Amino acid sequence: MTDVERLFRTYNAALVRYLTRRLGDRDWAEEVAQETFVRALRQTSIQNERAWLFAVATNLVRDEARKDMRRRKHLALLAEEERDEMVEPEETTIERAQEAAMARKAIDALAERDRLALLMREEGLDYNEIAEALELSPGSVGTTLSRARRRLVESYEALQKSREEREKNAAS
Amino acid sequence: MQHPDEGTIHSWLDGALSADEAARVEAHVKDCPECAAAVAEARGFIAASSRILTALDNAPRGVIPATAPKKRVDPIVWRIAATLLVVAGGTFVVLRSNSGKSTSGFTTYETPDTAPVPGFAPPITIMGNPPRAVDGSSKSSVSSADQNRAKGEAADRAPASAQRVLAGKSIGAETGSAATQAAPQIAFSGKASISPTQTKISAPGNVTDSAGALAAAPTAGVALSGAVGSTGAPIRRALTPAPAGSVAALDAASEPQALKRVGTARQIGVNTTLYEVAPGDTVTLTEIMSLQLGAVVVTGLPRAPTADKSAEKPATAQAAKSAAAVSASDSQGGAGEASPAPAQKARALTGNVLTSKTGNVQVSNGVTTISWTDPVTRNAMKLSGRMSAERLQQVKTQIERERAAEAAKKKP
Repeated sequence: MTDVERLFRTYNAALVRYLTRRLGDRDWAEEVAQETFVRALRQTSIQNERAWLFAVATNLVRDEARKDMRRRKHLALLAEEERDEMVEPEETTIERAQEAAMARKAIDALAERDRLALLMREEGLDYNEIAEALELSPGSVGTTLSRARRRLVESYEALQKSREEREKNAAS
Repeated sequence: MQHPDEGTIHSWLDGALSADEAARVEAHVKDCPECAAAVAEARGFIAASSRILTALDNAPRGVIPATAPKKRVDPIVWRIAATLLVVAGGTFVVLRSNSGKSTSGFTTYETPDTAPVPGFAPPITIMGNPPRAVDGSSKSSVSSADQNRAKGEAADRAPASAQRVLAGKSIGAETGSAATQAAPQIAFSGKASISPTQTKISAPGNVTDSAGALAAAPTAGVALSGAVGSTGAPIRRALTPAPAGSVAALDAASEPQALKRVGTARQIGVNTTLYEVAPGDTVTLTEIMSLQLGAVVVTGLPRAPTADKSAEKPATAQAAKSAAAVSASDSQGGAGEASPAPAQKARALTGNVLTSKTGNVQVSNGVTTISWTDPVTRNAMKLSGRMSAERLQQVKTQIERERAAEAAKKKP
């Protein structure tokens, strides 16, 4: 049996962060991460652990995304609750919330493969692991990452600029 | 060497090139200002994208639940709705039997306050203490918006026949919490059903239905005799329970103001419950389950003897979350000696302590949040609502009491 306890200790934090960034919801991220480790339990052996875990987590998210209809219903229900609830996330300043929103917009603007490669790289996966998890050729990972980084930064800066302009207009 | 492309520069900066390739790129960049600039730009992109991605870490919880929360009506709501149906029906039956004009459209009902019901135990008089309508007339104290809202709420949650009763009740009960505000509800369920002014609710057809449904009701053991002056005078109710079968009604009546559970979202590890303490006034109870995969993993695998020691401390290990849980047990396993205070352990085992100590109170944007640890389950609890800390503490106490009662019912 795979040593899931060790896997969990080693990779859970990175996996949850990767998924949180990918999904924008920490609860969902934690749940997918846990499901990933549960699947690891069933494996007799895993060649490259980190690549395997990230690949499985990514596929789980992809499978989940197919159940879009179900999610829409949840959102409707939650929106209903939210109206009454309106609890702000703790310690979230407007500034930070705006930054997070822009970051979310910028990352969402990337192509799926670029986004996943970048998020995996941020969690320390090397090029071979990224290639394995995303079924890319190792030689193309550098190009994928360079494109992802450039586009992310450029679209974030564009968003920042338009925000500043809006604020300037509002002030004048 | 020709200029390395952007992908190669990033590969080089990420340490993904072989030693030979890296040396070649390094040598080229040293002599090529153009490529040196490209490298500087790439470094900037790497740093900036890392920084941007960090902003995503502050993600909210529970935006999208992964498991489908079935909109299931809590069993207690059904139970109370059924009780109300019986009570309202009983009222009607009693009123009918006490009034000579019961079939003429409910224009006036004059019933003695403590009308004795033959065959029943002596009446227990409960002074209805409804929030607003006690001192108001039957109509003027209820706005039509309230009516609609209350009706809507009740219609969402009550079964077909019970709906009418609940809807009637909600109109009268200003606080509007569907099926749990026992005393005022009982008083008003009667009132709404017979009030001549509430035509929508007390339409003869509806009442006939109720009567039909309640044809067998007297045997159910609850009869409510009420006095409603046609002028809308203060209302007093005599609840006359039969010896058996009416415990639920009495229980409900003795609870001054119960909370209505309006929504739950269950996910692995987190249990979120939305309680309505008054119309539009909700609190959210978040319970972070201490039993996480980490805990399961920690206790589920064969372990070295020192590690077994840490497995004997599930309460502590489970209190921490996810990775924290694992790392905590890790350090305990290493330390070997750290064990929870015996008293704490004993309390957790006996489950005698039902009210936890007062937790942290935070207020932000008008939302008060109390955090504490459930003394029995060791779960991290959080209660938020737009109200004062004192009020929230009261709600917290009430929730804890209800949870304790529920737990007691589950484990008789």
